[in-house]
Amino acid sequence: MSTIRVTGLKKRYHETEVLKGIDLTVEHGEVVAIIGTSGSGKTTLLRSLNFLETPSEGVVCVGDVTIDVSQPTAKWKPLVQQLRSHVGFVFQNFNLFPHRTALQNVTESLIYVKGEKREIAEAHGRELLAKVGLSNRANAYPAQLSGGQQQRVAIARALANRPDVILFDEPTSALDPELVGEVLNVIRDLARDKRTMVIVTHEMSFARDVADRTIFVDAGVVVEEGSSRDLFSEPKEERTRKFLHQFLDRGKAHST
Amino acid sequence: MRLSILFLLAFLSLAGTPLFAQAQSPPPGTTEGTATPAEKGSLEAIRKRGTLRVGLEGTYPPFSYQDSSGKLVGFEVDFANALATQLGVKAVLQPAPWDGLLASLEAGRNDVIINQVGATPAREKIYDFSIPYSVSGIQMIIRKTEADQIKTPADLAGRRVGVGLGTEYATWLTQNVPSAIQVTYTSDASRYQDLLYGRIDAGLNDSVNVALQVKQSDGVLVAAGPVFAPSTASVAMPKDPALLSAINEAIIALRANGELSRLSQKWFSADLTVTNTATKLPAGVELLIQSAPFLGKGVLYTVGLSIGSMFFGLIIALGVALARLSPFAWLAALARIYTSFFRGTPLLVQLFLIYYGLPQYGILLDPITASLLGFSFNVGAYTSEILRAAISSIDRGQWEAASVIGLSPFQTLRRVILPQAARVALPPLGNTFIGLVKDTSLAATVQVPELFREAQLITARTYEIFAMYLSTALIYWILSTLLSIVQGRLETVANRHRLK
Repeated sequence: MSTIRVTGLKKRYHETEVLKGIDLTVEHGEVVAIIGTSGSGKTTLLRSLNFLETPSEGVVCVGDVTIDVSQPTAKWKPLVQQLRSHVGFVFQNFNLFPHRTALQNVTESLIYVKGEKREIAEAHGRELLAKVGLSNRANAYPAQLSGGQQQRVAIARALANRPDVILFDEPTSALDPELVGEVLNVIRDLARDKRTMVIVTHEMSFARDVADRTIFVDAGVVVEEGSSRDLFSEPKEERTRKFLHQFLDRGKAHST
Repeated sequence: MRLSILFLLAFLSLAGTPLFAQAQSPPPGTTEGTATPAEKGSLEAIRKRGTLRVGLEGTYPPFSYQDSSGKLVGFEVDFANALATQLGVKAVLQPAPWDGLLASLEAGRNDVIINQVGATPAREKIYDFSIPYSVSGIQMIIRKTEADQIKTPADLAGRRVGVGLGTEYATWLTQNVPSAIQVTYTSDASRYQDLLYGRIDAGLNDSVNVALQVKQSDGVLVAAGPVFAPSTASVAMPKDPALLSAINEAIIALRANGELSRLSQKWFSADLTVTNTATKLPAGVELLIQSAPFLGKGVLYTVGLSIGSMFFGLIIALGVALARLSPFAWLAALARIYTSFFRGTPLLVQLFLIYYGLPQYGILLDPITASLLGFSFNVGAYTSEILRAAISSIDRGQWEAASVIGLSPFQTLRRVILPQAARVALPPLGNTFIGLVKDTSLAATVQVPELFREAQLITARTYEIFAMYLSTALIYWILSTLLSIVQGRLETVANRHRLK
């Protein structure tokens, strides 16, 4: 059974159509990377999956919750909260709560949404912090952590609700280059655990190595999708080739 | 036309001040060029000149004041004319402020003063005083419905009685009916209203004033009981036995022919009148010490009013700020109108609107409630803008992060947004609160016995004006400083998570 199924997803801002009818399926235990240029609509696509953006048209199905936005808003609006409980989300800018410690950030939803006892929630929270390698920083405030550490806390927070799928929105784009590795390693570990994940990223080599499948989005449509190995080594579409070339060149320029 | 009268008045009042008057050479028109100032007011001189120069205030209805056409009228204007006629001369009326009036006799600017002057031992050393031409005293004014309950001053025991701030009536009440609850006013109009509304049960005033207000009330208010503690008004003049006896004879004649009582009926529809001058008590450092408990009580009210208003103000502000940020246009518009009104009108006017205005529509609030309401709405308007800005300053990502982990909008506000907004809002909120503490002094105008009000009451009693208001200022300063310290502490606490 697929974890995510999206059909005919469209998003318009006033006159501009950002997503032009996207179909997407993510199977249980699968890691999917979404790549594309800035403004291609890949982030909007990701955010539409848990209704941080409200789609203009289409059906989004996550786990056992199905939302068809062509129906009256009042009918599906209450389902959004339910859908989100299946989904973890990791932001580009971490968006940790600055006035809460690392542990409090992780346990917030456990205590205040799920109503778990504090001791149980904290025990779980410490486990998650250990998983992302931060068991010694449980009581630190975000401002006292490096960017990489903050993003790892954010990942632990996304894991806290035991979601069916975790969405990553460019999780390393806001990081200094030397901090990118530690975050990617955490995500790699999650992939090894067979976590279902959808990752919007500019880290091409990471996408190639970690994602089972990669989707190339351009101008609001899925241009090409396939197993990561195939898509990166033998892209079928001209646009995909061009995009990958640009990245390759840039990568070269960086390394010299 | 009107302007020229104003100029004339300005000139006359200037001429009436002692400094100016003393600098003047004796006015022309007198035949005795070598006369000393004391002889200026002599009967001889008056007869020869054919005029009686009368000093009076001209701004003291119904005794002497300008009517709507700018003409000087009043009981004492009529009396002065009658007196001059009796002496066989013409009256020349010279309006001037009270504080220079008696001195103008010595300077030879006026022959007599007719301005509700009472003969006191101190004054009698310098001036002669005629037999009294008017008598008035303290009288009670009450609502007609309670006419059979309040008949004598003794009936005021345990009741709320309105008196003018620092008047002899206040003193009289304290000394004679100590169990009455004294409510002090600086304005006759507000006391009159409060009596109509039932905030006070009786007022004490001079009988003239009582008569005027009874007339004004259309039968709702009545004068109660006898006129007591009478005081008299006499014509003041330079020491001159001939002039004194001539004026006394003239007054006796005016009494005999009924002219005096006719004038009295014309102006007061009642008995004759008296001034309400403040009674001066001896004052000293010990009085300042004695006033400490009163100031202490005032501070309690000031602090209580400030904290209460800030508390309710913040609740209002939060609601208004959220309304302004809400997606409902009509709600946001309503909130904007509220903010605009309470920020755009004077706090004093708002207080008066609530305390004196609402009773007209049956909403009668006690002073504390009224001022609490006024301050809360006012401070709510200011702080709503602070909160709105603070909430807006919180990154969108915080709302999103809260929503994706499943917090409800209320939980998001309560647990994520407001704690962060509070940090941003704390400095301006502290400033608003300090401003509020100082603004509560305005509650003095609606009878709240807070710090400034207590200071006013003590000042009226002791005349230690500078010392009293300086102490008050220092207390406000201390309160503000303490608040600044608390504000600093809170900011440190709110910022602790930002420390590396």
